[in-house]
Amino acid sequence: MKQTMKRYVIVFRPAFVWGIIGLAVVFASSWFFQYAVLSPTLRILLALLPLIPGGLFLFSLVKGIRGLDELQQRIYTETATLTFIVTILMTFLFGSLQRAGLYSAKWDDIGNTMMFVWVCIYLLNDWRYR
Amino acid sequence: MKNHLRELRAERGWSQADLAEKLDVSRQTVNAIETEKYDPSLPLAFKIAEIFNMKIEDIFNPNHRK
Repeated sequence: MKQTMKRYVIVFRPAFVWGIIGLAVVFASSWFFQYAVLSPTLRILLALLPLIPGGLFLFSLVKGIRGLDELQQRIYTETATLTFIVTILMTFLFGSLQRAGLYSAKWDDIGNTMMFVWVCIYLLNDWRYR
Repeated sequence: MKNHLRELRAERGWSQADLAEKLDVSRQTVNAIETEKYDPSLPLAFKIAEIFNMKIEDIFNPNHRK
């Protein structure tokens, strides 16, 4: 268990760091949009800024997954596929609820739902092979 | 796929962690193969056979699927 955890920490450390930086950039840009007076060009640049740490996060994550052994890669692939399908279904559900006038989902809801679903499916998949 | 990995490992007095280290995989992978929840890839099967100095078909039996 210790060895597996050590491996996880090593391969996912860069992705974790870029994820934290990405979140910090998102919060910082949100703060600027709310409290600072910015030119239209600067607003566009600021809105696109999280793409840089986001891209590096994605690159580090893929590199990290490739550093895992074959069973762990399989778990991640199965998790990603199922999460993608469940998120599409959830997006349709949000759309239906919105059309029915019951709930108006925000853009962030899709991301949060995806992360929650990913964690649930990952834990389930990991348990299957224990 | 049925396999004799657990018996072979026990004969040599190795723990799952020992075998995992030799194969450069996680202990979870060794356990999943032993419990027949996961069939290894061909390169990993060759590596297992090499470590035990046996043929793949002497360790894994494709005719006995779970």
